This record gives sequence, structure tokens and C-alpha cells, in this order.
Amino acid sequence: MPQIQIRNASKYYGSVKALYNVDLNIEDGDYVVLLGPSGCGKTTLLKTIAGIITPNTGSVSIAGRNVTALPPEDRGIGFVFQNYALFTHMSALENASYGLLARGETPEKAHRIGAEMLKLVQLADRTDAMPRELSGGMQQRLAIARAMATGSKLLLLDEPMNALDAHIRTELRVELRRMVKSLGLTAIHVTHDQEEAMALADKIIIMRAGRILQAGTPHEVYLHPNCPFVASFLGEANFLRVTFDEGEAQLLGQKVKTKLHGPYIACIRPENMRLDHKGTKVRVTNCRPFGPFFKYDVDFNGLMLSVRTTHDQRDATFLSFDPAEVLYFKEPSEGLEKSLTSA
Amino acid sequence: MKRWLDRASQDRKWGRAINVIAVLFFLFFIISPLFFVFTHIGRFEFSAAMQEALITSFCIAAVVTFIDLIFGIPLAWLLARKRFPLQGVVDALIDLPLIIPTSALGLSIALFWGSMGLGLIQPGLLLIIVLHIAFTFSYVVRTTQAAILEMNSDLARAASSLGASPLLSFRTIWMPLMRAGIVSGAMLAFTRSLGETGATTLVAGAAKTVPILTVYFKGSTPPDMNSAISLSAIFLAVSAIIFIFMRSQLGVRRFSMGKVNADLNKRLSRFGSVADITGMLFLLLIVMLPSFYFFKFTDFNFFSPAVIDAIVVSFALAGAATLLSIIFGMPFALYIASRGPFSGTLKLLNDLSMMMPTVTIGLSLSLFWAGKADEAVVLVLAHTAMIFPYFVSTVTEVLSEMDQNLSEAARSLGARPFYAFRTIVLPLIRPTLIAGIVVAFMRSVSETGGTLAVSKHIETIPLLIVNLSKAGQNAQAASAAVLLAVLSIILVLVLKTTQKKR
Repeated sequence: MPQIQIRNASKYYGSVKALYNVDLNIEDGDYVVLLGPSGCGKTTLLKTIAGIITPNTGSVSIAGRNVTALPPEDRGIGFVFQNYALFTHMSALENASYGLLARGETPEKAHRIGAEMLKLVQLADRTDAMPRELSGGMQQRLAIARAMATGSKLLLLDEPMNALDAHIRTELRVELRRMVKSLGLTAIHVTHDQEEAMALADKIIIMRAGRILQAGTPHEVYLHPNCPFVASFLGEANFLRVTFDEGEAQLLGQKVKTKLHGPYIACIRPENMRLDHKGTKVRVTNCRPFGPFFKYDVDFNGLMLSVRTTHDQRDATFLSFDPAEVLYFKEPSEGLEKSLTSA
Repeated sequence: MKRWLDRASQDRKWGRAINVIAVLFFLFFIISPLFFVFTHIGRFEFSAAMQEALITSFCIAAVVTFIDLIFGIPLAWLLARKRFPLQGVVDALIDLPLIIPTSALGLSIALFWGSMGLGLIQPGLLLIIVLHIAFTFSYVVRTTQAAILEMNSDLARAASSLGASPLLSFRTIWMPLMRAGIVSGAMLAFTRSLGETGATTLVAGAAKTVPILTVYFKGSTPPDMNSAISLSAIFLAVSAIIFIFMRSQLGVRRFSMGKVNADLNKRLSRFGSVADITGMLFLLLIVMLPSFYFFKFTDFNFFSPAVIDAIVVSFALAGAATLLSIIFGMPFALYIASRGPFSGTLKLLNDLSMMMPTVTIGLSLSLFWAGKADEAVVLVLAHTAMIFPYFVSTVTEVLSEMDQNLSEAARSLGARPFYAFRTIVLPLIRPTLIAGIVVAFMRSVSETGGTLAVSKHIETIPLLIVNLSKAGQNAQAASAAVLLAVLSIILVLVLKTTQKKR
């Protein structure tokens, strides 16, 4: 079964490190999302698993077999490309049957399975259509059907939602996850969209500058980010410098108690702050209604904070927060500001 | 001046006037002289000798194109998709046979394979084929290479992720999708092979192609003009039919796959490097080495007065003709690319004139211009007629591919048409524009057949080389060819460096 192990993989392009000593285990049947800003190495990692990129060092094994030296065609994978890479000179059915034909199946069997796959992705009535005649969403489903027709249990997806508009995207997310789960596939999905990652993943892997920063369930990485970058990349975060003296410190005019000592970076999510009639005096400089919630820019002694509430509180003049919701990080070695950038 | 033109271009009348002038120039100075010959036909002749020449010409062109494709596609693949040592040098070498005048090339190849070199091939059919390969191979390699580079390589990655071996993915993905590029390269090679006159006369021996037979009709006493014109007419008609048929093959077609022998494809894929090496060896041993063999024969007397004179004449002539082609060809290409009324017809006419054998061109031009103007002026106009279509075809190609939004964006920002043209369009098409200028200039410098027909006293360098070589003075001919090749290479290098600058 497609359990994937990556050991100490590095990939350099000249002096640029696209992957840097990456170790990763993926369990059978998981929907894994590789998340990170552009240039973080997530696509390189995906293509390394597929065999499109050969790492400079390290190894890749799929289902216990070391495949590092194998070309993509011998790895038994399904790959969905960023712009689908559909064969423009072949019909939907011919696209879907390509992998089976390439493995030497008879045209009858290949076309039968190809047609079944098209039915599965709800393209049964478009078997004869050419790719350019299909809508964006249909093209994506065709790409998935083509990748799965070979019977591969491992589906690799490189930003498969990029070419779709926002509305169809949310719809297809649900559909995609349902399909992967019902077929019992292991999926590895690359995206830079944190909402997409939260909606799809059993496990999110957050990358930055060629390294894996954190891996865990969506809930884990959101509630317990292990560094300021993860906290700010998944959702929003306000960062404040704070110095503890024997576990006590002042934060936004409020007294907080911990077991820490020395300088730290406090992280408060916008939704964990309240605008009210008690607490610290602040000034709301901007308020935007988003429908289900309201977003504010709040000025606290010249420090700009982002706050989110469910009701309109634009007239409030006081701010408070629950100390239990505050996260504390050590100052990163490269400095806080630098650590939040994508490179 | 620029400002004045910017402002003037605001007025639509000027734009229209320029279009009209460009189209009129094309009709009166390019098409009329080129096709004038057909108005001079007295009685239509068609003899067995003509039929044989037609068959010979088309067979040679077909064989040449076929061999070009067999060795050119792997070489283009190697250059476009792989990395190897000295790649840049090999890539630069590809263009060299285009730089050498075909007459020098003919001489060199006759020397290399003939009794003064390897002694393997005597003048005749086989030597014509080898010669034609030398000057058409680059076209096939270059257009195929461009087609490979333009293709989305994710398609090949997708095929391999689906289990296709490299050979299978080449056969089922690359080849069907690159067809347009390959066919257009093959068309260029085919038409160039059909029409070439000057160099072919040097290596033909007893074989008679259509251009050679035309030269023969024209040169017999008294000149058999009826036969010459009839032959040209039927030749052009057949070429046009083939050309139109080939052009209809350009689109990407729907492709269906049958049963695949996966194992066989996989096993054969391992021979990829054999194809690489074969393509490379073909380039070096069959195209390059014979093309430059004449260097060996030079008497190192590079600067004899006759050679210097001829070179000055050739470069001045090519300069003037190229300048005329740019001035009138640029707006003409813009007009064709703008898909205005008649632009399809004009494009077809332009393509047809590229297919004319140079000897027919020469014949037509000499009849058209006979006694109308000074010989030098006639030569300039004749060369313009010959190179104009090449320039226009190159520029039109890049203009039609250009993103229309760019110049519209410039216009929306308040740029006047001419300002948008010189600040947006011109910088973007510059590399291709310069390539078009190089092609046009070199074609003028190296042209033999057409020049032979119009010139009476003026001797260009290719004429000098042919004359010297016919007189058996190979050493002097070789020296002249070396000097010409060196000057041409320097000129092209200079132009290429300006091509890279921003």
C-alpha cells in the first residue's frame, strides 16, 4: 500500500536550495496537503515523489520500495498537473485511456476502464469531447480521471484548483475529497491556499524556504503552531513583543501570568480579541463588514492590531482578550519580521 | 521627426495611406516583375525532357526533405531538450550553412565528395541531394527546435506519469503536437530545394532539374523562351498545389491510439542516445565538414582586386535591397498580420513568390526590366523582389503570434499608434526582425541564379565564384568564398549581438 517515506532529501538549483534535508512519512489512505508560499519547495517535493525531479541527496520510497532512481513511468503514480496538461489532440476518452494503453492494455479494455473513470467523475456524456470544449471544472475532473485510470492508489495533485474561479473551487473541494476517500486513495495535494488546505486535509504539512516547518492535522497546526510563520500563514495573527519577569508581564494593558521568563513574542488571533466597554482603551480606525463577521483595524498606542467580531462593534473603545488563547514564541534566530517572509 | 510621426499617426488617413503604398509596392515591384514572365508565353510547350526534369526536381526535393527530417528531428530534440558539453557551439554551427553563399557551398561540396576530395560521389543526382541537404538541413532543425521549445513540457511529464516510455511519449504526444512546426520546416526545405539554381549547376553533372533545364533553354542559341516559360509555369503551378496541400496539413489533428507494445517501446527508448549521436554525426560529417571543405583549397590570395570589387558590389547591392525590403516590408507585414481585407490573398502571393526557382525569377525580372532602367537599379530592384518575401514572411509570423493586448494596452494608456509601435511592438519583435534582416541580406549576398539573368556587366561575388570555378580556377574561387564567408560571419555576429541587447 502506498505508504511514502522521504529521507533527508535535498535539491539544489545552483546555489538555490529548493529542498533542504526533508524527512517525511505519509500514511496509507491519508489526504495530505503540502502548504506554503510560492517558492517554498512544495511543488519540488511533490515532483520528487513523482520522479519528475531527482533529488541531489536523499531517498524516496513508495510502499516500502526505494524508487529514488526510477523514472516517473515506473512509479505507478497518478499526477494531476497545475494546468492539467490534458492532451489537446485527444478526446476525453482517449485522454482517460492513455495510461492503460501506454502499459500495453488492449484498446477495448483501456476504453472500457477509461469510460468507467469518466462516469465516476461525471463526464460520461462528454467522452467524445476534445479538452478545449470542456469547462475548467470538467477539465480538472478529466485530469483526475486520467490520473486514476491506471489503477494507481497514489494521487499527486499540483495546485489543481488554480485555474478555477473561486466559487467552483469551494464546490470541487468537497467533491475531490469525497472521491479520493471513496476510492481509498492516498492523496498528496500542493496548494498555497490555506482555506483549501483546511477544507481538504487529514494532515497539513507547512513548508517554507525548502524546509518542512510543521506537520499535523488542520486543527493541530491552527491551534498549536510551532513558530510565528505557521501562525501567520494559517489564518491571521497579531504579534506583540513582551518581556516576562518571573512569569508576569503586561500585554496590551492587561496583566498576563505564565511560567515563562525573559523576552517572548505573543501571538493573538484577531478572533480571540473582543471590542467592548471594558479593558484597554483603543481606537477603531477602520471597520469592514464581511457578512458573517466584521474586521477592524484597531490602534493601541500607535500599534496597529487586527480584530474580528461577529457583531458590529465599531463604536467600542475598549479591547480585551482571554490570556488562555495567547501563544508565546521565542524570538526566531533570523528576527521576527524576517521569519514571517516567504524566503 | 519621431514626435511628428507620433502625432501624424493619430490621423487615420496616414495609416491608410501607408498601407496602400506598401500594398502597391508589393504588387508593382515584387509580384509584377516576379510573375511577368507568364505574360510572355507564346506557345505552350511540354516535352519529354521537361517531364523528366519535373520528376527529377520533385523527387530530389522529396528525398532531401525526408533525410532532413530523419536526422533533423533527433538533432532538434537533442538541442532543445538536453544539455551537453559545447551545446552553444553546436547550436551556433546550425546557422552557418545559411550564411555561406550557395555557390560557395556547391563548390565546397563538389570538392569534398568529388575526385579532389574523398572521390566518393561524382557530379549527378546523388551529389545534388547531398548539396541540397547541406543548405536545407538548418531550416528543418531550426523550425523543429522552435516547435519543441514552444510545447508545454508538462504534457510529456503527464505522459510519463501515466506510464509512457520516452519513445511512446515522443510518438503519441510530441510528434502529433509538433506537426505544424515540422511541416512548415519541411515546406521551407522542400521549396528551397526545388528552386535552387546556382549551386546545383556546379554539381549536377548530366542530371537535369527544372531550374537547370530552364537555364539550358535560356542559354541555347537562339534562346528557347517558349520552353523556358512553359516549364516555369507548370513548375510553379505544381509547386503551388503541393504548397497549398501541405499548408492544409498544418493544423493539429485529432489523434487516436491503438494497441501499444509497451515493452518494445520501452526497450527501443534505450536507443535514444544512438539517435542523438547519429543526428550529431550527420550534422558534422554530412552538413558541416563538406560545406567548409573549400577552405582547404584557398591560395590565400584573399584580396585580389576582382574579389574586392565583387564583394563591394554584393554588399552594397544587398544593403540597398534589404533597406528597401525593410521600408516597404514592415508596413506590409503589419497589414497582413492585422488580418485586413485581402491579407490572406496577399500572404499566399507572398508565399508563392518564395517558391519560385531563382532562374525563373531572373528570367522574369530581366524581361520586366529590360531596357527600362540602369543595370545597377535593375539589380537592386531584382534583389528586392527576391528577398522581400523572406523578410515579410519572417516578420508576419512573429507579428501574428504577438499578444494583441500589449499594443492595445499601450493605446489605452494614451500612446498614439506610431508611438505604440516603436515603443512596444518594435522592441518585442526585435530579435525576429533582426533575424529576418539577416536572412534577407544573406539571401541577397549569396544569390546566384536570378542575378545571372539580369546582370550584364556587373559581377557580384557569387557570380565571380561560379565563373572562376567554371574556368577551373578553384583556388581563386575558394579564396573568394573564404573571404565572403568570413565577412558574412562577422556581419551576422555583429547583428546577433545587437539582437541580444535590450
